[in-house]
Amino acid sequence: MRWITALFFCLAAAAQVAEPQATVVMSSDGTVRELLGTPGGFLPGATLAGGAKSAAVCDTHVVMKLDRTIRFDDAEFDAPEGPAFIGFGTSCTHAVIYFSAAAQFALLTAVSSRPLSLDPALVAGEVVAVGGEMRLLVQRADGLHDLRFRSIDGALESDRALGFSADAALILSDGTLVYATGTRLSVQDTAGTERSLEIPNVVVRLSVAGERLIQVTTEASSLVLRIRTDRLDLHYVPEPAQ
Amino acid sequence: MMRASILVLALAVTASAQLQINFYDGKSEQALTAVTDLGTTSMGDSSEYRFHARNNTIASIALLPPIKIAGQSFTISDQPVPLPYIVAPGSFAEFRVRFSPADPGSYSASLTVNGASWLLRASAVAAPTVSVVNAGPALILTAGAPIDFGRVQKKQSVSKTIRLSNGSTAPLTIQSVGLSAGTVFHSANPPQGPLALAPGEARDFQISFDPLAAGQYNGILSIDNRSFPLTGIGYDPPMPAPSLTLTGPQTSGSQPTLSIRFASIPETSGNGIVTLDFRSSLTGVGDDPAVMFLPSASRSLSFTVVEGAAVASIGGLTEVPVQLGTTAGTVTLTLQLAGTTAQTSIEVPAAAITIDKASANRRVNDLDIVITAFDNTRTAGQFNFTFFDSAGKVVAPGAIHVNSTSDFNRYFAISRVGGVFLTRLTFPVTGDASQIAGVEVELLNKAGKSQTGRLNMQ
Repeated sequence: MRWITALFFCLAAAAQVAEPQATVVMSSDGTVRELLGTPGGFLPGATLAGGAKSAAVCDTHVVMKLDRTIRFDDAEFDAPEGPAFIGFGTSCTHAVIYFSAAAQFALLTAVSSRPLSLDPALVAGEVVAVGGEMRLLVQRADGLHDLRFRSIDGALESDRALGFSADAALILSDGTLVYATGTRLSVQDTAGTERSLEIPNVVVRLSVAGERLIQVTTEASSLVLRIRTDRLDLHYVPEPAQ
Repeated sequence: MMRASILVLALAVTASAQLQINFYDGKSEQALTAVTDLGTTSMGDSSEYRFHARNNTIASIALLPPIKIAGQSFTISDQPVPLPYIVAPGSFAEFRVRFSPADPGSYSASLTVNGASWLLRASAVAAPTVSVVNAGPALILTAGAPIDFGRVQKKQSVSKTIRLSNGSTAPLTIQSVGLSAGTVFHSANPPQGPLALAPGEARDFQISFDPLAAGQYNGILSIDNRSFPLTGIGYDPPMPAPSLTLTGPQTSGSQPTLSIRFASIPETSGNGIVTLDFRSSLTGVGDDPAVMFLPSASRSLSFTVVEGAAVASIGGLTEVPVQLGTTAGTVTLTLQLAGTTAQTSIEVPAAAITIDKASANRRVNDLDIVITAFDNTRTAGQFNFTFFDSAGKVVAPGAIHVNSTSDFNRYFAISRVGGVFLTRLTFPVTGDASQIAGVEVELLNKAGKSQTGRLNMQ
């Protein structure tokens, strides 16, 4: 079930024109559906799955954590129960998965799901985000820590205290950090430059919804954050009742 | 003629002997004895007593005029009309006697029915005159007479002044004055018994009716052994005028928030509905499905007015986003609440194309430019492309104009997503395509021009 952009094309010598699909989002009830249009002009599209625990999008690829399985596009693999943190690699062809209820890591592609050995003692905290290049954000008593592991053997390469705490966080494939504290949403690029904005309600979950597109789930609604060079745009997402 | 007269006379004589006169207390009958005690009435009040003239025979009997009562303070207050009145076998006719003592003491009267007589006795006790003395002349109440406070708006109060007066020539003592507990009838200054009133003396106090909610209310004012029903109706105040308030940009692609506010704090609760309608200003274009309330993706919302809250609750929220879609036109919001309608319209103006994202990619000898955007006029299709080399110089022949209006027209004719589009334009390149480092695209529609800025080839 790879997420294909084009729905149809008009034959033309110079231009092909199609209905754009903005992304794939997961509702608070676990429904995963396509989102048509552009931010601010969204339309709900087809439902891809129900009862999902987590979902993330990278380019045209979708990873969905279901009750006891995890899907990478059309491939489905057994997985521990509960939600998962999903971190796509830069090419979007693999993702590092953390099954939080079972405290297990896996490397997921469209053809396999392979356990990753990471020493829990090295994590020493609550994992709140996973990056595709073996990078974790871990909540400890003194705040968030940015941990980087060597992909070959799982050895800890660096452990950096970020100096703040977060209720939800993300590591984007380019290294940008997105984190929420209460109703404040912040974006910190790799140079350390930070931009913030206020969200109408407390953020409960962040997930990657595409290139520089973040799904922000709050206590009351679902939004997408478009990270632009010069600004942060926030748009509500339609969530029709099932 | 002579025979008929004799027959009527004979019937009358028979009737006087055979109608049985019973005292009726509302539940059962009791045959009158030579002396019948009717009980006690407070001075100034009236008591009405019911009697049944019952026919226990198998023939009709006439109740003949006059029914007489002879005695001070006694009157016949009701009787069958007209008399004579024929009482069928097994049936009865009712008449009533009113006792209205002006002074305390013992009273008696002789009741005569169809020529037979009985002695009735009653007594009167000293009691204050109870009256309502608000505006206008005092309204004197007899026991059982209601004190009606009328219709009063919820959480407001109406009070009446009750006067207890001693109209007799002797001192009078009121043992107790009370209001039934647990009701919305209150008195801030109730008289405390025993209360002595000298002849001609009066004592006023207030009873207020303070309904906390809409509905019918009943209570009792008790003065010694007399009761006065208290009645009143509480009603909800009118709902203050609602207004639809939109906050934020009101252009295509925006999501202003809607809140429902009131001219004053509502003193009542209620439920209403707000609906959304969209009319395109474009010729041949009807609806835009992206115009909707969020997050429900609907065009109708229920809301609740909470007493004391200046802003209505829409599914637990004080404001909800309204997505204005990607088509120029008019969005109309209509609110209906308790018979009131409020409406507001948003004019979404035609605008230049809004670019969401754009990218440029090199494929061997082809250059692909992909643009995701929306055109709320649906007149897109004209582009100007300017390519740049790695030194930032414009590549010959300079700006390339592309007219794909017909492609866009076909697309918009069948698109389901309003003015949104994704377009991919491919330029075959002869020679070394890697020399092309970037491109700038200008998009035109009838409202103006938009530019992507420099897109670097990926």
